[in-house]
Amino acid sequence: MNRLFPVAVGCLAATMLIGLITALATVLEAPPVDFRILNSSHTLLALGFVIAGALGAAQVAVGRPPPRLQVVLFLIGIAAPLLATAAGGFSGREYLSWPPLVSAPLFAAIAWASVNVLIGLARLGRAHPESAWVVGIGAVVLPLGFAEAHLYLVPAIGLDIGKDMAVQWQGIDTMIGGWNAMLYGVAAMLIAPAGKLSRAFRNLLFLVAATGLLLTFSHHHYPSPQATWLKHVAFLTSLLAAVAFLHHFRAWRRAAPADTRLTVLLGIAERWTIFAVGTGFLMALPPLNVLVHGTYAVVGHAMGSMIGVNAILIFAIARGQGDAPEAAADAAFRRWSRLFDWSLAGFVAVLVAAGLVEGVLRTDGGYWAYIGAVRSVMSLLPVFGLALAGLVGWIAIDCLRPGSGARAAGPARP
Amino acid sequence: MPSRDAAHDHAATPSAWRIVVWLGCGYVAMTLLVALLPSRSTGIGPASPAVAAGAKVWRSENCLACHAIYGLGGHLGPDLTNTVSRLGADGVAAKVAAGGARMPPFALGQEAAANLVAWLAYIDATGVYPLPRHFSPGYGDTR
Repeated sequence: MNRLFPVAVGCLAATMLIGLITALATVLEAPPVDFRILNSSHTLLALGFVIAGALGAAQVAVGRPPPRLQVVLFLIGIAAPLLATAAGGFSGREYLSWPPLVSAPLFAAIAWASVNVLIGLARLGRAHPESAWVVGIGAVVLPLGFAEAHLYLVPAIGLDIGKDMAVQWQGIDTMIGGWNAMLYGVAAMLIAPAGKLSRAFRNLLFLVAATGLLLTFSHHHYPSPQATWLKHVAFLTSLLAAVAFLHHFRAWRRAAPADTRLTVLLGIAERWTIFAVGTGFLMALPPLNVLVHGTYAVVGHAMGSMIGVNAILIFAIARGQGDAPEAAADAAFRRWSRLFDWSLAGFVAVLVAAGLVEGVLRTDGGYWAYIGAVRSVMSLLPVFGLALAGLVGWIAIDCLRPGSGARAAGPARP
Repeated sequence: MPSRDAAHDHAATPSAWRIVVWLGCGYVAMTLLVALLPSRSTGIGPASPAVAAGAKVWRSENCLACHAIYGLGGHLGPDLTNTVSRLGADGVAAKVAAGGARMPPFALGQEAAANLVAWLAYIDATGVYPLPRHFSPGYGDTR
């Protein structure tokens, strides 16, 4: 049984609630709660959702479901930073904005789950070699990326802004790459035919995935003050990562049967993968990167990936990993799923539009030249955000119902 | 007697483990490379004690929740990469103390505020952000 799935769903519910409060706080002149606390808590809970979802799914996939103690450790790992930031303790970092000392329980939980995945990797490898490799890469780089994001504590790195940004973002991007790899690997395992890849193709796939994940999706780095060679490498890397992703969603399209809820969910993930890869590639092109870097357009890319791909894959996997027969996708399920797609598209479109407005106006006029226009565009965001929160909640509840994968006990399907 | 497929599976297992180990080593090597190679800011010289103290203030106050450096960070307030060039050291200190439209005032004390300004001045000297529109795909120098 995937005991981490309810933890993930709990984190998601809290993420959405705090996200809505944060959205209100950005509109109000004097927010009732310190924005720094809201922002940090929202990010932490979103990380908790994706990491718990990915590690829970990967452990079930290798036949070693998360034990109770690991779940407790994970809960402490989320609660400790949450309490620390609520008390006003910060690290001043993106994503991992809590005091570094309270990272210990979360890191321990991540490391435990990753080792658990690696121990069981051979079992998955016998039936699904491709998935085993991709999941294995994720299990290796997720804890390493988490640890690397703390290297700013070394003064030679933390007090050199160029190195600090390079190391910090390599760490963060690697974490993202790690959970993406686990979710893509497990999802592909659920629907891909077992063990039919040639050795040469498997090697090629590994090379692409490993190179992409080792060097991360570093398109964030172009305008930062760091070595030029890293920026060239980052551009090539974003292409390699795209190749790995493309392989996965093509495999899904070929293998997935029609008319089940799992297929509908994977279809959503496929569409948003195309979006994520497409926008990631576009943002890596230097002339466009100059325009959109550091704007809400990048947030739009991240939200499309996290909600449309990561969240939906976590739900799809929870459904697909159970023993219960897969439920048919009735007309209502399809209708609500389409509504989810459109709501997310609206949400992302607002962010991208706000980012483009900023990108066009900021070069000549600075912050005060664009902020009014950006806020006008962003005023639409809570509307789509509210609709999206409702629809994500509905999908989560559907996956938690009796008979769905998250509730049904039993090992992963080979 | 194990089947041919099973024998193949067993042969694949150590290979997969080798790959995982090599991948981990490769990642650590890559991290060291990024951490040890000189960056564009290395030429500015080692950070002074005031800059180091300012970095601590910057982090403990979580300025990045609302502000960005080189576009990386929060979106609520302006990017602070070149704020010292724009406002001057005194202007930045005054802004921190008084707050702004949505920014609350921060009672940091004179020394902490001066250190924070020193950190921002150090960042300011490393480059320019946002980049000019004519920035070419050569990923050129941001200074």
